[in-house]
Amino acid sequence: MNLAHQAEFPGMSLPAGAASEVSAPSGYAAHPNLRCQVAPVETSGTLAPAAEPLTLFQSSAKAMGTVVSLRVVGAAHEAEMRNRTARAFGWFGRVEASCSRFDPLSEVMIVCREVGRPVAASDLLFGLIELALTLARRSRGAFDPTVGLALERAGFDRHYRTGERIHTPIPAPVPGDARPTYRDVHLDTHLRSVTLRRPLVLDLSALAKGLAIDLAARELAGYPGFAVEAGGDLYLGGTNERGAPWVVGIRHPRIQGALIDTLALSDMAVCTSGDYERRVDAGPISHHLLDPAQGQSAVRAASATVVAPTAMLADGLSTAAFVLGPRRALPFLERAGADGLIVTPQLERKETPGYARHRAVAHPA
Amino acid sequence: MAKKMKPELVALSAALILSVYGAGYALTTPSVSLGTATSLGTPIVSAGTPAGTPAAQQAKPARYRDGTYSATGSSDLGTVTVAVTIQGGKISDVQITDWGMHYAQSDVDGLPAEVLAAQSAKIDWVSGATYSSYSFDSAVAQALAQATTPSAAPTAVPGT
Repeated sequence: MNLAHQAEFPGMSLPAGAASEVSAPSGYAAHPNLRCQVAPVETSGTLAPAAEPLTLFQSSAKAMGTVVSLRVVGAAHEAEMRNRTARAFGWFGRVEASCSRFDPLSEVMIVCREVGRPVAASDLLFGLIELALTLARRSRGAFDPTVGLALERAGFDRHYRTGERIHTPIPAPVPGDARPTYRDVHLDTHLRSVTLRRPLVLDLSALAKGLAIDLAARELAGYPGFAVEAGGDLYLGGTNERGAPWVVGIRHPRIQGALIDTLALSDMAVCTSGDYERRVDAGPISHHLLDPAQGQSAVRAASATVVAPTAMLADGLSTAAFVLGPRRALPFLERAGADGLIVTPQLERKETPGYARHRAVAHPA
Repeated sequence: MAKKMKPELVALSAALILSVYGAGYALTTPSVSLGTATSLGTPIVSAGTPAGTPAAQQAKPARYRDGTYSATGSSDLGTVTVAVTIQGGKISDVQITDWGMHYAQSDVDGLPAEVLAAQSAKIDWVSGATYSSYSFDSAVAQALAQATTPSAAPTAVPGT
């Protein structure tokens, strides 16, 4: 939507100014460069009654290179609702300021400029790297946060807000050199510091988007129903406006507008990693899901969907599952306490034993 | 049998959400270097004090002309069309106005029939990205290039 829409909602704590920069409290003052933009692009903010007594509130904003959508069911007070959703959107800006590899002044990129020396990290960044490394070990490197430079050099290098190309001043590894891996990142849990043993760029984008979804969902917890979606990754709390679990279609990896499955979820997250982002003339790195061992786009799956208690975990696990391919991904997901559906490049469907319980029951026509 | 990892990963992610949420929006980066670091033999650099950051690295906002600029980015899977609105020389809004994906016919052949049956149910959400972010990024870049080119006319000017 356009700015005229913003003006209709003075109650939103997001400033209605052109750039809509979220002026966050105190901590930001000392870091004038760590601002973030969360521009509301669509707000159908009238608490229009649904068929049942439950109200439905919807709002969308642009953040993290994608569109973020919120829905809240059963809210009684519109002003409070707007305040809550504004705070929920604010988390995306907060996480982005720490974790974006596209911003040279993000906390993670400051860490990446120091090689061989410990750098103190915020709880947010330290925790995300800790989870990333744990996922990397558990997946035997199928998930690896150190692929940032490879992605950047392969052309995944544009900041979505400025359109500018980033270039991290690290010499590209000489051919024949081993690529950096998660083992080159050392955490000191006592000092909460991060040490990179080799020059590398951390790509935390999958986990960071999941974390922002989880934080936004927490901001909305307490309503009978709430849902947060960012670029096709979701957390579903409570029920939809019809008082039933949220119905989530899984995008078909090859046919636009088609679904390959339908789930009914409550208090669960679901994320789908797909190879939809293939590019022309891209060579071996045709989409953004890299197989870290090969340094090329993973080819064992067309899409990987994971249902897990948090969006952060679902996001990280779906990335790992996509790289692993069905044979190794399914036991891996089970051990991680999650369920999943892998669609192979031949469009076969492979799922964990527990996955079927999330499937929506087909309604007779 | 592999070690059960459910407690570790689920608990790690849940604990992280709790601690970050509890701390609020404020950046929790330590503002001073950790004084106890001498035992490491190496100085600790606080990520919160980017003193060594050259000013040149700070993104210099390009001077954009006000208006709304439309551009399309594409990959072999499809296209995304965006409308970028500039107000007061800054990006005020980015809208996806159209997106479409296309596939090789060989990808689509032999598709199970039940896929299409799923469309009829009432769907609240769809999991899985519905457009290519690469196409999106290049569309935004093209729109911004128009906004800096004196000869390019905006497709719309706000307030008119």
